[in-house]
Amino acid sequence: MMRCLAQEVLLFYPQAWRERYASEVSDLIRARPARLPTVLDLMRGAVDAWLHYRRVPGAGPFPLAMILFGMLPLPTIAANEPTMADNVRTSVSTLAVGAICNGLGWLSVAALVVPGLPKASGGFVAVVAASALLSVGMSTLVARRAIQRGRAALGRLGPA
Amino acid sequence: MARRTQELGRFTDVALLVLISLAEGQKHGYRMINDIEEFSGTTLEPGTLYGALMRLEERGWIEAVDSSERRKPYRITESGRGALHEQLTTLRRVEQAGSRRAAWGPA
Repeated sequence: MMRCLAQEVLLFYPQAWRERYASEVSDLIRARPARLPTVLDLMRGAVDAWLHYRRVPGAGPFPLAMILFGMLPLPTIAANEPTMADNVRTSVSTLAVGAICNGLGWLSVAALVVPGLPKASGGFVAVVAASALLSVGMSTLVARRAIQRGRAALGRLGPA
Repeated sequence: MARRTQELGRFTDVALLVLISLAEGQKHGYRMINDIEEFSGTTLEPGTLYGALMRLEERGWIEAVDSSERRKPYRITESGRGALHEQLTTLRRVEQAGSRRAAWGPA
């Protein structure tokens, strides 16, 4: 049971990590006794691998867009379940605040980048600008969608 | 030790154990866990071990050895030996200071 669970936890690691280490760790899980601490340790390792994504050998750019796209269906699914309306309200607030903070975060990046623009390469400016556009665009989309769905869920709970 | 391994965070001690284990020869994860358990009494779980291996590889202190086997062995590099030597020197200094102050060892 614990061994199966431990194997499943490997799915939560970043893809680059899995490509590099998963077969070795999987083999290790099969060869050694798997207990609850093993599973918890692997879960902690998965969080660590995501937090230190750039340390993973062969890791490409952080899959931010994929994560944001993955977040979109969550409020939709939850909003269709009336019993989860309170949770939806809390989560949409969090998402909206997160999206606003993301936008504000890019303002500080812009404030730091602008003074160095004359010396910066075209490629660097293009990458930063594209990242800012993508990030703010996706955040706005998430916030807008989340707020719409949250309102819809609350509307269904109102007096008939 | 402090300066070179500061960024290893909670993996500092595990990284030291891994470097000591690999100092006597290349090993794969399973053998490393058994060896570390034997010489230090510390049982490492896979998530912790591979968190440390990832960081050590990133710093170039260890490297994976090409192998056709499913279990990939790792070996310590020259810079890894240097880092290990530095860490052990610091530990020795700490141990001497501790013993002196606690009056257990030679005055």
